[in-house]
Amino acid sequence: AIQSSRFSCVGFPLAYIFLACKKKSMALKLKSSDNKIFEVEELVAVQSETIKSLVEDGCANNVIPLPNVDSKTLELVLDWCKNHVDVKLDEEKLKEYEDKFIEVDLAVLYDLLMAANYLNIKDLLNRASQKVADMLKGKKPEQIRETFNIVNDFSPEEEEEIRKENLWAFEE
Amino acid sequence: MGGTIVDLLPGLLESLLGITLVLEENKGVAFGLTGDTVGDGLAIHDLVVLAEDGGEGFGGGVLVKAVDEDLAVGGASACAAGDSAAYHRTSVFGDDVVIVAAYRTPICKAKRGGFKDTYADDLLAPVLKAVIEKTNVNPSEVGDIVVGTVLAPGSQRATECRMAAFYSGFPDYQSIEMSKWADLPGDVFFQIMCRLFSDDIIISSAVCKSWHSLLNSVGKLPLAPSCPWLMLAEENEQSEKSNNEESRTRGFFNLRNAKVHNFELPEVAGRRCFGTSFGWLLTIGTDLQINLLRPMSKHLSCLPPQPTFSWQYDSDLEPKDICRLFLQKVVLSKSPWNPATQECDCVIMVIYGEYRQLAFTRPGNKAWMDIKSSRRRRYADIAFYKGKFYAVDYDGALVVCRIDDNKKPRAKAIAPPLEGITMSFKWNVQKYIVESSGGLLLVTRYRGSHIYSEHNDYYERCYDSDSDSDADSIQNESSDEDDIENEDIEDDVENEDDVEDEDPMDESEEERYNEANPYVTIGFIVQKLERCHQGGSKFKYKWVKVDSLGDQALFVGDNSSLSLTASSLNGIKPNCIYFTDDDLRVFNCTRNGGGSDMGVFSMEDAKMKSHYSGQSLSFFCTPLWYI
Repeated sequence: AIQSSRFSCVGFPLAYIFLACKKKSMALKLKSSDNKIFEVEELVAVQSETIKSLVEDGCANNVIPLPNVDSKTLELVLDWCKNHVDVKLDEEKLKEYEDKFIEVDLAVLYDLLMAANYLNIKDLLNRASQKVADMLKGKKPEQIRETFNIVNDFSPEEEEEIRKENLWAFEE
Repeated sequence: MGGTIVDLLPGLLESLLGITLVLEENKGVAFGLTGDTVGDGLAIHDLVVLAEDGGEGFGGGVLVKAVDEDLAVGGASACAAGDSAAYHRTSVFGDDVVIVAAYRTPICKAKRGGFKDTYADDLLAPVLKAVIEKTNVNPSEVGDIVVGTVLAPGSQRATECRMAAFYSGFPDYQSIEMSKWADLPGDVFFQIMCRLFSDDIIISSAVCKSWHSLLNSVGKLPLAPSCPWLMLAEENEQSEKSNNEESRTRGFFNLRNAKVHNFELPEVAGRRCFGTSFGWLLTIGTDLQINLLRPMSKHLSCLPPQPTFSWQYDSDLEPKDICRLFLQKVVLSKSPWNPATQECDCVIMVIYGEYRQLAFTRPGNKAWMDIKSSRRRRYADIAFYKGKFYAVDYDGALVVCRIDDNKKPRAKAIAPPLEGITMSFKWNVQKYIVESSGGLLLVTRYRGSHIYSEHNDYYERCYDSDSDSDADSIQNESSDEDDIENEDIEDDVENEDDVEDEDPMDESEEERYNEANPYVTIGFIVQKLERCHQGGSKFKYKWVKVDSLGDQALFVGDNSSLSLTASSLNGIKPNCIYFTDDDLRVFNCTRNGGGSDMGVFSMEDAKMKSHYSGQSLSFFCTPLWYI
């Protein structure tokens, strides 16, 4: 008798999770770092591998806290996910959307990059990385520093040494 | 009160211009802000706060980079601008540093003064606030706050000053903004870097220290495919044949900017090289030693030498010829460098010997191990695809290699030979397999020449049997061929007569080929591996012809065949096959060595173009793709 009751104890949450996963377009609640709650369809949210694994582990019954993403960024990310939910979407249109989406200023791009990495959304991470890579392409170190607001913390000697090591890359 | 600050300002300015700030009695704090453009073409460059610390007092000022002349003059009029008080400014330049406001805190006696119980941040905050109010600068447009400290330990004073900045209304993301791109997490950083060419990666390593160290930590492990380079033949092979040790540099042709870079590479002098992707080369020398080499970082890993192969030549071949002929193809399972262990680790699969067998080894192993198959096959190319080695033989049959368990390594056929080819050793046909956008492609290369006994009829038949548009493309292609020929004639005009005399073949048979170039690639056919649904076939897969590579570009030759996404590599054309001259068997028919038969084949219009305009010939190590 004891054994059977123990089984039923284990059985109940498992069945619950099973049902929860099966049910289509179940809404998930995501909480941003500034405590805003976003309600999204599961199909949209599970494009994030991070959220997907939470859902699969049955940890998504309540609000899912995302302490590394602020509400502004999360809104953008979810917009991206919504537009990528339907894979059959017109490729031209999708590309158009992506190009427009990624045309943001550097601070937002940085947040998107970090959010895509944390939430593990492959296509967004790829697109954001590509955008940054495009901004690096064919530039000189000084231009890169200027674009990304990076302080040159090399001493002149150190910088000279790096240049010397790879002279071919620096010559015009 | 203002006088104290003005007295100190010249010294402060000196400090901003790189000269050490001299502070009286070792007391004082320098404080700066840098920021973006503000309103009317003005840019805040630095906010400087001075402190006479003994008196627990701070002074403040904003240095403005003036763009607008009127404003600059107005702003600068009361201040001593320049690198010294004695330096009198008469005109204004765009990058001038100008003081537009000067504030300070109340001061009193040191140690026992009235502020001895007041926190430094409480004193500092009103100064910052007043500077903002006076200059009407938006605090969120100020990029960074720099704090100098004299009496307190640096980190403590930094905290105080940061708190003061909060009190006075600077947003909390201030100054993090500056460095956050520099402090990108490693995995995100590499996501970006793997989309760049090697030269852009080198440039990025010179941006700041954190990027440099990130890239150095993996500098030894090659990053994902950058733009392929053409590793040229040894420059002085002809003149210094007896003394190959002399040729220490090797040219690399960069497809992106069409420039040749010369690198000191004595490691490859006189050795036969193979491209293996991941930025590595496999070399074999007359010492019969086989090495894996990464030329850019000079990493070297010794592999089992040539005599450890189970099959050896019967006759006594000169080491020179062994090193030239023994290996035909090299493919690695992954990038050999493991940054965690700082050692080389991967599986190296080769095609070797007269019968073109498969063998593999790992760094640290004692010998090369053969891969047997149920029937004898001559292999043409290997691909590492979805975690397994696949090899294609001269007939187009595909085998998969089993090497991962403890059983004897074996190869098992999974796709049948191509129809229409019965001769197993057609000289004018060469095959490559390459992974491309998740699938496996079989690339068949056709050469045409009078040195081949057979005609390239199979290739033409392939096109004939296709639609009319394809028939057109043959026309195009043959006329294009003439173009190539003409170019070659111009290049080699001086040699032509000699070659004619020496050429052992009967030239009347095929007059349209140029004698200086006894062979030339005339076309490619690409087939894709697809699952076979036909009942009755004993193979799971079959080859299906494809007409387009999409956005992919293929690189074939003396390298591990590779497919790259053209749109991510500027300077590479999509839907093209980049090929080099890799058929050693026919180099002896040439006068100056092989290497001239290379170019770009466009799948779209079946036309050939050249990618390297110079001449780089060799009898044993022709130009190859270094990727």
